[in-house]
Amino acid sequence: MTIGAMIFMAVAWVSVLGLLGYTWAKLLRVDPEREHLPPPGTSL
Amino acid sequence: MVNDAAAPREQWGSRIGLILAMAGNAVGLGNFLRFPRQAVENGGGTFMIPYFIAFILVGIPLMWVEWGVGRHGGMRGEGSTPGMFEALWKNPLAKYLGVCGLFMPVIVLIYYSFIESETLAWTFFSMIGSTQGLDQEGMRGFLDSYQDPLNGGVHAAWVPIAFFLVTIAVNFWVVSKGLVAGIERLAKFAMPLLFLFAVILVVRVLTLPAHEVVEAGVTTSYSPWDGLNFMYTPDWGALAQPKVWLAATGQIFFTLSVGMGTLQAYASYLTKRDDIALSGIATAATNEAAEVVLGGSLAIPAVVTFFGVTGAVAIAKAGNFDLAFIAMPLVFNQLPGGATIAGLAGLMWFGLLFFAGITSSVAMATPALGFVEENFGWSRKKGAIVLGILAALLGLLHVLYNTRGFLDEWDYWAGTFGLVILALLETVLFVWVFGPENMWRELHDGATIRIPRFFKFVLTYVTPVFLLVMLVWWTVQEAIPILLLHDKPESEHMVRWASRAVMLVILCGQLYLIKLAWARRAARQEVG
Repeated sequence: MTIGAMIFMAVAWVSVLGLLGYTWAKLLRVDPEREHLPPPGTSL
Repeated sequence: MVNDAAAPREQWGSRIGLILAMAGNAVGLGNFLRFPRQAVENGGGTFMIPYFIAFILVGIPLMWVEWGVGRHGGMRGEGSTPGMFEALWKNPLAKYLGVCGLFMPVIVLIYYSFIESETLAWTFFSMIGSTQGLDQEGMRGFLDSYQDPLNGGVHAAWVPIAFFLVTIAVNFWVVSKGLVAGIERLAKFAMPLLFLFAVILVVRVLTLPAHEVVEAGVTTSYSPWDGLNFMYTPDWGALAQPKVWLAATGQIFFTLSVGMGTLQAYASYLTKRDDIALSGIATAATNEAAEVVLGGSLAIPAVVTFFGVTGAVAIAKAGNFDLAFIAMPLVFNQLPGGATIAGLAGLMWFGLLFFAGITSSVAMATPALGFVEENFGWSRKKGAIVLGILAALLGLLHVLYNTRGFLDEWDYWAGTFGLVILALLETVLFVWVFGPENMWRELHDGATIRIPRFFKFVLTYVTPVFLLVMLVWWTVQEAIPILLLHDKPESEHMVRWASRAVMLVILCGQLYLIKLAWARRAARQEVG
C-alpha cells in the first residue's frame, strides 16, 4: 500500500471505530436496559 | 388535529434492542456493495473527505431530526409522517406533505424485497453448491436467467417468484408479531450474526495469498492489500468535482436510511424520558463501522486479488449485482479449501446481505402499518396481512419486468430523489416551523449527553441549505433527463411509463387515505 492510501484508510478506520467505541461505551455504561440518568449533564 | 382514536402505543423493550433495530434499518445492502463502488469511482481515498463532511453536516443532523420528529409525533399518537408533520405545523397542508413518509417506504419495500429475495436465493444456492464450477459466463447466465424469468434459461420462472413470496411472507410475519416480539427480536438475532459473518469474511479476505492475474498479456501479482490500496489511493483532483461531493452526500443518505420515513416510525415508539441524542449518534456510528471498516474491506479487496485492478474496475462499473452475484461467487470458488469453503463463504456473504436487507425492509413496513393501526383501528396482524398481499402482488411486477426498467424507475423516484425531498421537508418543519429553540429542547428531552451547540447552527442553517443545493442539482442534472427518458432504449419506454403510472396510483391512493383518516378524526371530534 502507498503511504497516502494507508493514511486515508487509517484515518477513516480510527474515526469510525473511535466514534463507535465512544458511543457504545457510553450507552452500555449509562443505560444497559432502559434506565435513565438525570437530565443532560455529560458532555459529548 | 389530535388523533384521539389512537390506542396506547407499544414501546421498545430495551435501549440496546432499539439501537440494534435502528442500526439494522440503516445497515443494508448499500453498506457492502454501494459504498466500495462509490469510493472507487469517486476519487478513492479522497472520497472519504466529502463523505465524512457530509456525515457531520447532513447525516448526523438528519439522524437527530428524524428521531426528534418521530418521538414528538409518537407522543401525540402519530406513528407516520402525515400526523407527525401536523403535530409540528398546524396547517391543513402538513398532513399531505407527510405522504412522502408513507409513499417512499412502501415503494422501496416492494422492490427492495425482490432484491432481498435474491440474496436469500443465493444463500440457498451456495448451500447446495449450484454456483460451484461456473465460470464468469456461466455465473452471468445463472444471474440473468433468475432476473429475467420471462426469457427462460437456467431457472424455471417459479424459482424467483417462490423466493420472492417467501421473503415477503417472512417480512410480514416478523412485523405482524409487533415491535418487541417481532422487529426487536429480529434485530437482536440478525445484527450480531451479520457482524460475525462480516468479520469472518473480512479476516479471510485480508489473509488471502497473492494471486497472479493476466492483464493485457502481462502477468501481475495482486494481494488484498492492493485492493485496499486501489480503494484508498487519493485522487486530489476529484475534490474539485461537484459530482464527487454529491456522490458522497448521496451515499450518506442511502447508508443512514434518512429521508425514508422509517427512522421516524421507529422513534415514534419512544417516550419523553427516552434519550435520542446519544442513541441517534450510536446508531449512525454502528452503521458507519459496518460500512467503512467491514463493507470497505470485503468486496473490492477480494475482487482485485482475483481479477486485478482492470477487472475490478469493469466489475464495479457494471453495478452492484455484478459485484455481489457474479464476482463474489467467482472469488469464493477460487478460495483455498475447495467446495466446502466456497459454500461456507457464499452462505456467509449472501446470509449477511439477507440479514442486512431484512432488518431494513421490516422498518419500511412500519410507517404504513402504524398509519392504518392508528387511523383506521386495524390490528397489527390485519395490517400485516393486507399490506403483505399488496406488496406481493405489486412486487411480482418487479420479479417479471425487472430487466425492462420497471425497478429502476421506482428506485430512482422513490429510493433516490424522493429521499432528499422528505429530508428537506422534515428539516424545514422541525427546525424552522417548529422553531430552533423547540427543536433543541426536543432533542435534549431525556438526553444522556448534551449535543455540542455547533450542531444547533448546523441544523438551523447548514443542513437545510446543503439539502436544497442537492435537490436543485439533482433535479437539473439527473431528474429531468431521467423523466424524459433520455438515453433509455425505445423498447423500455412503455414499461417505464407503466412503472411510473403504478407509483402514481399508489401515491394518489395514499393521499386519499390521509383525507379519509382526517375526515374520520373530524367526525369523532364532533361526536365527542
